[in-house]
Amino acid sequence: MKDVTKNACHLCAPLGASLVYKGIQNCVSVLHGSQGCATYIRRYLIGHFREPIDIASSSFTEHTAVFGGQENMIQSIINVINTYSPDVIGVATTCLSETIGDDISMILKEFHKRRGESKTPVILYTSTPSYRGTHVTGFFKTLHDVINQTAIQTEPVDRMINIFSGLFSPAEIRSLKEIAASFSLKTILFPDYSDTLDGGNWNQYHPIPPGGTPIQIINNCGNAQASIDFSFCQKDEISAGQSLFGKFGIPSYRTAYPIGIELCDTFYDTLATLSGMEIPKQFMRERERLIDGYVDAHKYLYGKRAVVFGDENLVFSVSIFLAEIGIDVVCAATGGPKDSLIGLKTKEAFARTDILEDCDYEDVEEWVIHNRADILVGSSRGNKIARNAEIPLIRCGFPIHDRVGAARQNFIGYKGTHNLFDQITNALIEQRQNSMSINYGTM
Amino acid sequence: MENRALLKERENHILIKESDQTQISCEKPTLAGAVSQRACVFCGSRVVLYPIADAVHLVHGPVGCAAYTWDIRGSLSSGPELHRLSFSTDLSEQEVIHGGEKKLTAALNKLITTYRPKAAFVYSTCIIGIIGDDVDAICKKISNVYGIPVIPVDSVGFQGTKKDGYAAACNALFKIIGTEPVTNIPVCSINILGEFNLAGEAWIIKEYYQKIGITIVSTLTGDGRIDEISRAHGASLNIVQCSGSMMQLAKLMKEKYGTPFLRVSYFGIEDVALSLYNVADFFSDYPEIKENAKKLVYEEITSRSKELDLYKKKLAGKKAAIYVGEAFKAFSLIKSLRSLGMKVVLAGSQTGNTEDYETLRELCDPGTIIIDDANPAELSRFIIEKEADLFIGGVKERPMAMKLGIGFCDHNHERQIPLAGFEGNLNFAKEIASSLCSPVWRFTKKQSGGTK
Ligand code: SF4
Ligand code: SF4
Repeated sequence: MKDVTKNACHLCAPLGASLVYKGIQNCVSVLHGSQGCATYIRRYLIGHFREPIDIASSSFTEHTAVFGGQENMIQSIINVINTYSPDVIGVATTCLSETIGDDISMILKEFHKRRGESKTPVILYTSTPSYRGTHVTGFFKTLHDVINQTAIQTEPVDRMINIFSGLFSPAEIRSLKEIAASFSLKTILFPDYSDTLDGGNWNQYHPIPPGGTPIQIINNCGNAQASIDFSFCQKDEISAGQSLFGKFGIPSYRTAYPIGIELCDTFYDTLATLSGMEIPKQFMRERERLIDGYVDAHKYLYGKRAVVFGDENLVFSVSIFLAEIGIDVVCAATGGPKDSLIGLKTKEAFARTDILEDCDYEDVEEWVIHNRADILVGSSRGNKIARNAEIPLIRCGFPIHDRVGAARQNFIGYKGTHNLFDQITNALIEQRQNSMSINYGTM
Repeated sequence: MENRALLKERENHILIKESDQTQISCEKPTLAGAVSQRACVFCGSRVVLYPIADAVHLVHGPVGCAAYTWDIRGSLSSGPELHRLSFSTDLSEQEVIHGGEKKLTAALNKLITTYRPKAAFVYSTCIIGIIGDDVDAICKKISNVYGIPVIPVDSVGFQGTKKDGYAAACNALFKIIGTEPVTNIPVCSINILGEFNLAGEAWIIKEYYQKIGITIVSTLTGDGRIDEISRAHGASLNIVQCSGSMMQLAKLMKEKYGTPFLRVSYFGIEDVALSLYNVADFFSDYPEIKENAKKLVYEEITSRSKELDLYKKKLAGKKAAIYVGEAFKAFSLIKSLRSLGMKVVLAGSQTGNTEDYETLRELCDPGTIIIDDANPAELSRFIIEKEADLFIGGVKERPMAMKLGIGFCDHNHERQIPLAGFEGNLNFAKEIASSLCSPVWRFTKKQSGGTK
């Protein structure tokens, strides 16, 4: 354990929870704690998605902190109902409410009792103190809890699967849905914030931005034939797929973010198996093009040294992809918990990689200062490191606060990988071109 | 007007100039579930102290509070940049249970030996208010070991609002002031309070004062340095810009050191000029200062008036909505928008007090909506109802305004373009024009006539 965290490489758990709740149709989240947490989280998310994001807080005061948060919680739910008329309210705890020991299920019971017959939205809740997890674990924990609280099994639906998404961009979510649809599968993708966090300009005012998975559809998750679950680097106890397997025996495919040929193959093969279909031609064409791209550009890449950092799942997949194209992943770093990158540690290709877990950006910066790197791949928070080291930073993951288009970035699937591949290759080419004394017009 | 707030408890926080004679309700804790744009006590302290660039700022608590405030403010430094790093004790569950004192001690030792700062600020956040670490005792101990001020900032998030955070920051600053001897400080000398050097604004202001013959002892806290702050009590006058945050410090200094203070603002031609004149008048024994000020104002205005006129033509008649953290800024914005020929249809703040809102009421045109501690639902509703063309606020309000198809100008602490002083005034006009005059609005649909 380090003495002090400098420039943390992870955010706090309720941010992950808020993101999941943004994936439910007509849902507003309420963070149980002080006002600041909710406002800071909003600001941070808005900086990335550039969309309106309303997150309510139960706004603790001194009195609440001493006597418990029940009344504030109840009042905030009522005020959210009156302001937004939501179908769903997603409650997440914060460090504060957890520390004073508020029991949300008890509070909700009391709320329902007082509410009586009045029309009341579905209220979901999760426990997300940040001293127990990061925004990534908070995301998967909330996803798990929502499924756990809502999925019911009635009649299994033929050719229907669940896709439990990861911290993907809205564009990536759209692409996952399209891919699954091409296999003639009915898919429940959750959480689906592809519209709520990447919407059009409005023709009319929307208290809650349109989009998201309707709660009735989430209920139906219990009737799927299988789950594809992207909580690959997470512990079993916060895997939604695992939970449905335990409850209803629905097989769960824990899948790594599909980046690179190898990991994409696994993903598309899983879809082929689940659908009983061959992989559609269009994807095979994309795959061929990607391999052709690898070949065309391999000489620009061989032996280049990359540092990858961010969400453990992303770091895992991006590292495997980079190794696949001949780039040495010299350092793979995450703010995620110890052992979250165990999957890399056991792979031959990363025997010489420095794998940093539970690290902060200062650790990454130190690493880059004392070792040599040619390129960084990670969030925009690596900007300072890249600037000081004078090497390119390929922005991917969360947050991207210094560029537009974070919501439209698509780096998954064969096509998305190709996109990432071109960005990395071109950044390295540009670096080389700029460093040459002669102005070469062909590279 | 009936039902102008969506929530009953919020009714009295909103008034319309002229039709409402009642006093606005303000300085209240935020209503639970209302989606306030406010942050917390910690936020207040952090924004005030943050620009001090040669101190370490250690946030004691779980990681979030520090992570979200890492380098989000455009406060520039001409030297050290310690303030741009985010330090957290990042408490784990075990530490929350057994106390974080050990971790805090270790963190301070580590930071002070690594960075050799001139001081350290330790911000207590919500969890500390619950687990009750003896932060004061630890700070004292560490301070004795290293011989630098190690100052606890009592910024527990739930113990009040942002305003209380300002007060905690002022108390922290007050502990530093007076710790160094003051010799060789000229009579015509001031401290600049409530100026945070966003996008280098403090430098612009300082230059004005230097040009007219006034010495600056310290800036609190833009481009701030501990040793300057320690000598702040040697100045003859405090000039206070962001009064919401710094008035308390001015009052404390007046009490203890007898330093008088003046309220000023550097936004908009009218207010900048007035501020310079008022300060010059204070030093009336030195009439050359006033002469210099007049000259400076004349030159600064005339050298830009042609360009400014171009923007005025483009902006005349447009309607703006303003929502800011501190009410003082709204006063200046209303005046400067008016001088650009624009109209303000909504003006609000997160933390204004009764007096502030009275001033706002006087400044605003009839029909203007005045709002305290607003939320996105209310703001959206009034933007539409009042058919605003432009919103002036911060990042949190930006996407809301744009979704509704209206222009936006960032006047919050993240801005990278200086908007203070005479050149800032021109930048401000440019900024607004670059949003309002963009051809993209042709493709969007501006809404009108209410939300229901
Ligand atoms: S935990 Fe408290 S101090 Fe920290 S951001 Fe939240 S409200 Fe503010
Ligand atoms: S770490 Fe905990 S207390 Fe701090 S912002 Fe996150 S939830 Fe709030």
